[in-house]
Amino acid sequence: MIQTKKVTTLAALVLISALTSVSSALAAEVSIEVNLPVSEGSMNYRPYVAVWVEDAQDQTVKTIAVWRKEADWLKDMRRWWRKAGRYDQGELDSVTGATRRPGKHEVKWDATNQQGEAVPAGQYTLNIEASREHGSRSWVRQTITLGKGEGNQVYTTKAAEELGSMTIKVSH
Amino acid sequence: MKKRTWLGATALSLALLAPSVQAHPLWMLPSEFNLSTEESFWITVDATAAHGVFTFDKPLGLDSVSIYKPNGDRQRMGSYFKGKRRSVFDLEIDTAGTYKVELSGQQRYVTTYEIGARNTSRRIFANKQEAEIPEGAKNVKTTAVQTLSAFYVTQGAPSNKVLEATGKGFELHPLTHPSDVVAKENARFKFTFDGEPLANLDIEITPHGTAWRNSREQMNLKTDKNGVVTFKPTVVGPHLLMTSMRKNVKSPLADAAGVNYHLTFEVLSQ
Repeated sequence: MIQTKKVTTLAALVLISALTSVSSALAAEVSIEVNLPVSEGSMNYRPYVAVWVEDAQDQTVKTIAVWRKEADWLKDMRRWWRKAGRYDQGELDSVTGATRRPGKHEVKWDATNQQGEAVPAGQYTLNIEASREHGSRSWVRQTITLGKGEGNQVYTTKAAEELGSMTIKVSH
Repeated sequence: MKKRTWLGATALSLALLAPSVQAHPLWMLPSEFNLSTEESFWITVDATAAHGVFTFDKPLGLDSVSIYKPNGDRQRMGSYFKGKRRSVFDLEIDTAGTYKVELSGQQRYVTTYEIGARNTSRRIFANKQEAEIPEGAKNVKTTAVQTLSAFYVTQGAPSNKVLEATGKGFELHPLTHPSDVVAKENARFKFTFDGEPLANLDIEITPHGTAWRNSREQMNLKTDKNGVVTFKPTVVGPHLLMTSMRKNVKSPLADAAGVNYHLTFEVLSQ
């Protein structure tokens, strides 16, 4: 890993971007186990789910997964729609899929941005938002650190109405 | 501005927009402010004159409602209805970007004066030329008042064409786009009249649901010297912004011009 402590941030960024073409400077992988709980009641529609990454300034870095049906209700993933979904120019087609059953579904982030370029070392926030017709909206986020001398990390999120407790693993 | 002919003007609508109700907030509330639809989608809009935010009191004439598509073109409304307590109209959203919907009342003149030993306040709905002022009247002043009510609805990403400044009349400048106001984040709107910043303008912003809480929770704000108001909403959902501008003018018909402005906007989740 790059000795970021010994160089300025700017220099580190330049170095990282210079290295990305050769091999991923930030050889990190993040795994998110999205946990969709079994819902009670007679109207058990599957939730719409978005998984995306923001940087330390809350700017969107990449949308990792969108599970949905009709476009009309994408807006109910309120934060994702406001920050990412509504600016989609078609680049999200590749991460968009059908809604999922209750249970655990693994999603992976390869530490790249929407353009597929490796992201610089630093703090990032993983966001998981779920919205269910005749149900609730839940938004869960977890801050992680990529590079910066940090090793592997394992986080467990608190359960929310539409999202059960989730495990997030960072491996370098 | 093109004159609409497809809905006849009604006497009642003019009466409701008259200065006699200038203190009566007049607002429109759409069913949605932001859409993710990919095809044409209908929204429905309530319109009423009421002090509650957002409760119904009196219906409005809808003949003075203008709808602007994201490219600036005018659009007709769909079905409409005028009830005892509110008016309703439907609006088809079939284009990506930001639509503007504005209810623009006719400019009305009100002449106020004081008379008699007790300086009783009187007013006449007439301009300076037409007002018959009795002898001995003091502090005679004629104001030309216009009432505006607006909201913006966005399909997909917000756009700015319908918010472009013209330099004429009362205008909102979206330093923060009205479709991008977020709870617990600073939002900034700028106001001008004939292109001039409206400094020190009183701005009231009230979150929805006044009927079901004790405090009105109204934010009482002022624009800075550049005509900019900065605020940080705490509650998500629809809000009503109200302001009342008065400005002295040189005109044979009035001493002052006034605009009562109402903007309905949505505060989005964090």
